[in-house]
Amino acid sequence: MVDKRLMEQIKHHRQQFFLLVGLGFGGGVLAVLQADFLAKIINGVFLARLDWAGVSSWMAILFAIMILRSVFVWLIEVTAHSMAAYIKKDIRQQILASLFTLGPIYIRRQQTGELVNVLVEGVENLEPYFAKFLPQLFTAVTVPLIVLTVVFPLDFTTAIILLVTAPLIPIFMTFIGRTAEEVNKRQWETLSRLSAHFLDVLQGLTVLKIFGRSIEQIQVIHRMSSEFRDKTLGVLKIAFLSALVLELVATISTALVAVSIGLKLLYSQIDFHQAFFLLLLAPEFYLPLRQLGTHFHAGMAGSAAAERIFAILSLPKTRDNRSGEMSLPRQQQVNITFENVHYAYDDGERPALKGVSFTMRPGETVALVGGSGSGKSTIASLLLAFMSPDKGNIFINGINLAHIKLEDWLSQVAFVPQSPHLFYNSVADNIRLGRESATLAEVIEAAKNAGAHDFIMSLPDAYDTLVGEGGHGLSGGQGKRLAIARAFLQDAPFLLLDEATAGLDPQNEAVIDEALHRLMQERTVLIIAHRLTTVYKANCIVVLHEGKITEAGPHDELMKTQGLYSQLVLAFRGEK
Amino acid sequence: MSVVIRLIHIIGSSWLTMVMAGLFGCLTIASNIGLMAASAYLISRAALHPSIMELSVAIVGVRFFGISRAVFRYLERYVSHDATFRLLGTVRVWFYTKLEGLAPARLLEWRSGELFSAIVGDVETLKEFYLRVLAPPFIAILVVIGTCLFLATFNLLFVYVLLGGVVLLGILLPIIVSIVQKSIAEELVAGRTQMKAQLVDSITGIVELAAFGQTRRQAQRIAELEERVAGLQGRVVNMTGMVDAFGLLIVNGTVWLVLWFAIPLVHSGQLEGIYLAVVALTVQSGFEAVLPLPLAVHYWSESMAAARRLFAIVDRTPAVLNKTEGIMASADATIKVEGLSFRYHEQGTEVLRDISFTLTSGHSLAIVGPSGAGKSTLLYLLLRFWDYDQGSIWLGGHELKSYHSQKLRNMFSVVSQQSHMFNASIRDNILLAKPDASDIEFQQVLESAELSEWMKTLPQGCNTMVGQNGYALSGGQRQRIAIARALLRNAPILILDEPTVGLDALTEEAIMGTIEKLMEGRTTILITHRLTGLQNMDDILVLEAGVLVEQGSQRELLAREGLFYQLWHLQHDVV
Repeated sequence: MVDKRLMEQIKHHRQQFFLLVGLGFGGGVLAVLQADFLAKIINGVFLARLDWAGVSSWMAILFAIMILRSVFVWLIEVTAHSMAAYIKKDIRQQILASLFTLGPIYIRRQQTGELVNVLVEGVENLEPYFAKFLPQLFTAVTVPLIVLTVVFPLDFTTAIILLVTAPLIPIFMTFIGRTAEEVNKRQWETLSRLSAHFLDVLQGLTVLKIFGRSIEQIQVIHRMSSEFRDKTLGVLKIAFLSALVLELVATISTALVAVSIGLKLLYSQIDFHQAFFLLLLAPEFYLPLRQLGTHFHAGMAGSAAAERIFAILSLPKTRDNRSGEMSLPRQQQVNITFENVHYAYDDGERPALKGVSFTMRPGETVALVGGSGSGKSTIASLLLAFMSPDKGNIFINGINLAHIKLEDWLSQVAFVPQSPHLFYNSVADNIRLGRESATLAEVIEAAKNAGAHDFIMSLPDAYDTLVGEGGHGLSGGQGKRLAIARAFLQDAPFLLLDEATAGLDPQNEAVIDEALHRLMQERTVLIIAHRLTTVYKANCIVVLHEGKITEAGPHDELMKTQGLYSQLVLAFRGEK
Repeated sequence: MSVVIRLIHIIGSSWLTMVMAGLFGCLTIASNIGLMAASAYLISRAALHPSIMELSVAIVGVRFFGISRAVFRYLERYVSHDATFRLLGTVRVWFYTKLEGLAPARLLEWRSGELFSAIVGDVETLKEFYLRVLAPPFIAILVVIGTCLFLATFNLLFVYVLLGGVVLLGILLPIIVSIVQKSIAEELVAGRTQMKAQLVDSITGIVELAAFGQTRRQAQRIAELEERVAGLQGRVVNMTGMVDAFGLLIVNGTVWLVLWFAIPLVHSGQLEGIYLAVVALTVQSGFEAVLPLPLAVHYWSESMAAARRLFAIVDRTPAVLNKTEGIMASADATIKVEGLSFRYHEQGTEVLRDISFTLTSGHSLAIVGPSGAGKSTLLYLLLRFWDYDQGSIWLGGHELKSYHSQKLRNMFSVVSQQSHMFNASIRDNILLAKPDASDIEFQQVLESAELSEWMKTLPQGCNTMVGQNGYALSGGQRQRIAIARALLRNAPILILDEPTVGLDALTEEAIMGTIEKLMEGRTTILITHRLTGLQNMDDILVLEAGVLVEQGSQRELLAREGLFYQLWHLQHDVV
């Protein structure tokens, strides 16, 4: 539970950490002092027959101690939280940096839900770990030690009782921790199975209703709840026993201390002040240990989260042979050459491109055609510098892409993906992804060019409407038009277009076609094509098959050679 | 307040377990008070050096309370867990019963799984209302009353001081906290939502971020947001820390104040000296019952919000009143729709406008059109999920509304785009359509749905579990199971709601082949936006924005070169 890698994170926040430890220690000392003065006062009034005046200074000190203790409690919480907040931010930045270095190729192949979970919930779980569990862990060590140090010289028997039972608590605690974890897990499993069933029934209610089977589910839900209850309680009954033992250790030893010092008092082997002081200390001795139990879950959750976090942080970063330092001023015209480019995924395990060479002249439109897995999107990813070729080179206006500064190149590529991602942000800011500094007028101009202005104006807050996950929902066609607006705003000489596989709404399609046509003017365009009409219009069609170019040329030429392309076209015409 | 009353109503028969759990909670705390008071008494008494006999009662008391606390704690835990499960069951049954009456119309509005999960979460939150909102005040009141009665035997002053502390800690402090926190809470929630959205976007939008060279900027944005959220959170913690500090000060301060009043009393002989320690420790340990109260306030607002959301759902009126009388069935399955118009809400736009068509018994009809054209709505009206008010639908010569609701649905078999699979065996999922089907019938259905070959490859055959919403099934297998359900149901009218959406071309072809068998001898309505396999349909309706724009066979529609032609062309323009 004390995760070494998590403790490493504290290094940068040493001051706060030591402050926390110091405050915890101070709090323990104050608790002992409070007990001492309480005992002094009661002893004074009860046995020494002192009046108000006799104990007033002690009362004043006692009150001061009480206030100081409260101040310490407040300071501990504030310090612990601020430390936790810093660490959380550090770790999030580390994860993000790691993920961004790994890049889209890695991330797209992961379960995004899991990554999001680590980034959001996983890191959040560290808050209770650093803010609650760790401080409590230190208190649980220091306070009992302080109490023992005080008790030993006062009364040997009490010290022995405490000393003997003290190890029992951590032992039982770990034992209970384990069983409690087991219990928690089991209970959680039961509860989540119950709620999974409930969810299942709710989601299938329409089906149940159609089949006339919905009423009987009331009985099923009732029966399942009872069955699960009986089963789980059977398990819990045993598990709670260990908690019973822990509780017994703490209360019975308090009782033992009380009785033993009571008897000693009787035989005058100890005085009342000391005896009462000891009685007050006994619960203080066990309290932090027992409180640790309530933060146990935070500890477990924190170290579980750490596993997943450090799994991401320790991923090997892909070798990147980009040495790109050369700046590439804004080009009017772009020509691109692929020269015997090879690329394989999974460290060479999965070859995707096996020696691809082709050239795109300025202003030319090239269509990439081929089945899934033929290497179309690998070419796009290489052009977006998500990765570098394993072998071979890509030249931009004669300069090796690997030598060009990344930002310089990317600013000259307008990318319209198949299904654009909309960020949880305003429509205007989503379009500004194309050029961050653009004014609203420029954004509107771009949206008009993309045929998006009209539908944007019909949104509740027009250009300020929040879209994306959790925002206003947009249709696929509308999202696409925003992506085209991005490209217009960016006004880059090279356009990379990943065509939609299925446009199903003729009206939407017509608007998008027209906008794209306008966008493609006077730019070098590479289209990952899915539609025949697009392909017909291209200056050059590059047909890919299993990572190799099988043929290339304009439509008419390719039809004459009667290769793969003509087969593809004829197959579809045949169906027509 | 009515929300609370309704919530208490739901408890039903679980109340006894809850009261038991509360009582054991009281006894646990009472034991601790007993332990501390008896110990204090024992020591004070011993300090006066009496004979050991005089101490024996105190010694027994100390030992008794030392053990009883642990035992009561055990019982409390056991009973309160029992109560948790009971309550969950009760709340679920309550909610499901209510929802069943509203289904399916009201359910279709929340299609997304997330919304379902949120509702399941709300139902679970409700249990906190009973365990963490109702129980703590109950325990606190009983314990405080008991402690006060005990203290009253010494001096009423102590009672007043204790009550003052209790009111401060248990009532005033939580109220102040909730008021002050509310001011920051909204800002904090907004900040957290934004933060989460940015983090999600960093993963799901990675392609765009990388392609537009925005990754560094994004990390920076998140760092800024994080600092803002941490700042807000810091303000909250500053406050909760202060509240905790005040809480401790109130507990300690009350003890101090009791001493303040007790000291002169001892001196003047109004309070016996040996009871001084007893009083002080009783007051101190009595606060154990009051400490959970601030947390109850937190759970209060949380569970009230959940309850309000759930009540808002169950309080809706059903879209269709369940009719338990009327026409039971009709042998003739001819469907005639005349001048049908429909809108979901009174102020809403018309989803269907003046639709008329006839589907003769035994014939097949396809309804096509872009998404949002009103295809599904038409289907919901046929199944009587909603009631129409303009125009009419006739089935076998009778108005749809004159049928017995469930008997009417029994005339339909539905194969939809994502047929829901229950987390049960394949057999149970199929038998849903007819629980009393014979084994021979079942085998025949498996054969016709072309499931038997695949089933043989499974180690557990048709007893294989399909997983939550059938995640262990491929799209094709799922649809075959849905087809098997429809076959087993053997209803005269078959409704196919985009049965091949999301399947690859090969599977689509195979499934359509099986479906053709299912269509034999049945009146069929196929809803689709994939324009394949329509050549065999007797009639095709083309809908656009709720209006019937074209009607005819595929050949006729293609010849007309209208919307159907455009759609058809677009779908066949694919490399």
